[in-house]
Amino acid sequence: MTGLLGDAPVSKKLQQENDRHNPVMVLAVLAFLVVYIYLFTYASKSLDLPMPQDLSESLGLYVDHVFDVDRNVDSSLYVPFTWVFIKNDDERLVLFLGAGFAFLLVYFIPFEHKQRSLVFSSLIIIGVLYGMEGVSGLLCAHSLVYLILHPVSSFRLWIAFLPGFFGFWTFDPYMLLGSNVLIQSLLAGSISVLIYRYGILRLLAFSPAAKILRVVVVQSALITVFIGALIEGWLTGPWKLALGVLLFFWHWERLFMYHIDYQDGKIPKNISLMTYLSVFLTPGQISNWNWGATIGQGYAYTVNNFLCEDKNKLVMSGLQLWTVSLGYLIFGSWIHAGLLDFFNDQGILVYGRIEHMSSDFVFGSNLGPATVLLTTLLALMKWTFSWGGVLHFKVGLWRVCGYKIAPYFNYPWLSTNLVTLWSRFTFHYREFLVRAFYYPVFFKFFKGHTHLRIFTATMAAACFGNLIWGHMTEAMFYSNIESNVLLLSLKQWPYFVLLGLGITVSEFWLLHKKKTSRRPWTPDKYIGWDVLSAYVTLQYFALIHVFFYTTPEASLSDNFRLFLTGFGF
Amino acid sequence: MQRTDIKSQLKSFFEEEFPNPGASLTDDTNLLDDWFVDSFGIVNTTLFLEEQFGILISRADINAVTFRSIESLSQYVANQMNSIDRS
Repeated sequence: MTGLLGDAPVSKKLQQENDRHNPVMVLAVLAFLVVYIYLFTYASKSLDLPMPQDLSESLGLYVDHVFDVDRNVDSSLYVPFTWVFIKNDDERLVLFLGAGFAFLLVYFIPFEHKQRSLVFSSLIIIGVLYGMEGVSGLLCAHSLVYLILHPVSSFRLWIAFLPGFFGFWTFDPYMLLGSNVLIQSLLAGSISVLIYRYGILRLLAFSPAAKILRVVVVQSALITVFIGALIEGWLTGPWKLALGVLLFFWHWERLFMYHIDYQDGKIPKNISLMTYLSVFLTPGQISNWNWGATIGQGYAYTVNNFLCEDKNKLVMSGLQLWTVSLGYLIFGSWIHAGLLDFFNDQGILVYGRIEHMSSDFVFGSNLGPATVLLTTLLALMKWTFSWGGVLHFKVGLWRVCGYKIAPYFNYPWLSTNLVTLWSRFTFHYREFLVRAFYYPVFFKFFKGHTHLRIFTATMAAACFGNLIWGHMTEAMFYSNIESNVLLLSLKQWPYFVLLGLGITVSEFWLLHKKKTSRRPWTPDKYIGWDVLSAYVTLQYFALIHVFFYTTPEASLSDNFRLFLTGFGF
Repeated sequence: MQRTDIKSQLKSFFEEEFPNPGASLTDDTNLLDDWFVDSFGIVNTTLFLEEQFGILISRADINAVTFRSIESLSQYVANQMNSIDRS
């Protein structure tokens, strides 16, 4: 947890000591990737091997809800927003092969090139999966941010060529096929050098303007969402983002964290572009790019956790996460469907999705508390398996590549209060909300009024920051940048208010409860309380999702009635 | 207040607030690596420091140097208390 407060970077000497090779670990990583390739892609078909479902059935194991129609394992692990390949299976194959390539490169390359190698391999994987427009969009946007945050860089005028050069390809990649493309892109690069040299650098020399510019680049995603919604609502049609820009916007929360580190003086002003890029471009982010977008956090966390302990120990911990990930990815849907069938066989109506329950409720179905409680709880469970499977794969890949990254998802069903659940369910995202919203409020307002201080700080983070910075923008990136999407996402506000209130109450309870040395889940006479606390915590969290996964026809009043039905009213 | 008193109160607080059975807490134990769980641990500690020692903590003081160990944290508390006394 060293990087939590941005400790001094781990010494180079220690990192070099941690860089010892172990062939067994290398083979283990490759073996795991072969298993992933076998289970989740078409590779076995191409190699004339039995498909996973055939293999399972030949062993006498006939299970539903595990395999998809092409007889390999259905999976939530995918590469979003790409249309280079037709099938998810092909994209996954590229991802797993890319992960293997990145691992071998970072494992064996001399220490001083390791983090650079991860940038290089990430760009190659992104290039194959998203094409030139993905790579160029990321490089265009990130080089621009770098130039504004680090204008003292030695090669700044050379680097200033990149936003124009790559920007030219970002917005019209098919121009690459034209004959004059090189000349045009060189010209665009030269223009961006001139703009930087005679415009931006002069603004950056003027302190208030520099501050505004930095805020504009860091908050570019939110600004784009608001401006885009206004333009769509008042003037024209939906604003379609260039793919590379969209990918960059999914780095937004981490850029926010980077900026907090920057403001706190934790980042050397003259770091190289490659060091900057190594914070953002890592293979661990690529699968489900838009899930767990905060993994890795900002500069301090990423830099301080690279090879801070023996790399083979890190690899081993990554493989452990991959093992758990496989369990979630393979059996999640099977367990969920089994429980659904079980309850429905007992005569208790349980829906597979909260939206379906919401729709039936709005159109007059009379639902009981058991239906509401079980539907929300099982929906949370299904989402939890998918979320856990994907997030463990992603964090596992970070670890395999040498980063000691804390688990994003950490057995949330062991949470005995909402504060713990918030941390166990989305650790890095919670850290983002705490650093970006909780701390600024907590350390500035209502000092001397403990409860008011905790309440405002928690609502700033869990409610306001979570809704506006975390959820609203993402909802629009998922759909379109349209005013009605913005309004629909804001309609989910009760979920965020109830989450914030629940966490606040938990904090008060933790603050005032009698302190004991007993830890939750110690097998003693109090363990029954742990079970009850865990159920109440999970059920509350599940139930407030009736405001989140609601049918469009439902009014606020409908959602509240459904919520209260869960309590038996 | 003596540094030893500050250390003693900090040690009691950490042992009670963040129980870590089986581990012993010394003045040099790395609080960030071996004791705190997450950023909420910092929040609780801040509330304790402000209430117990009458000091005001700013966000800038929330860093790894200050919060590294009981030794460094007690030094910080002593400095803050001295600056309050002087003013």
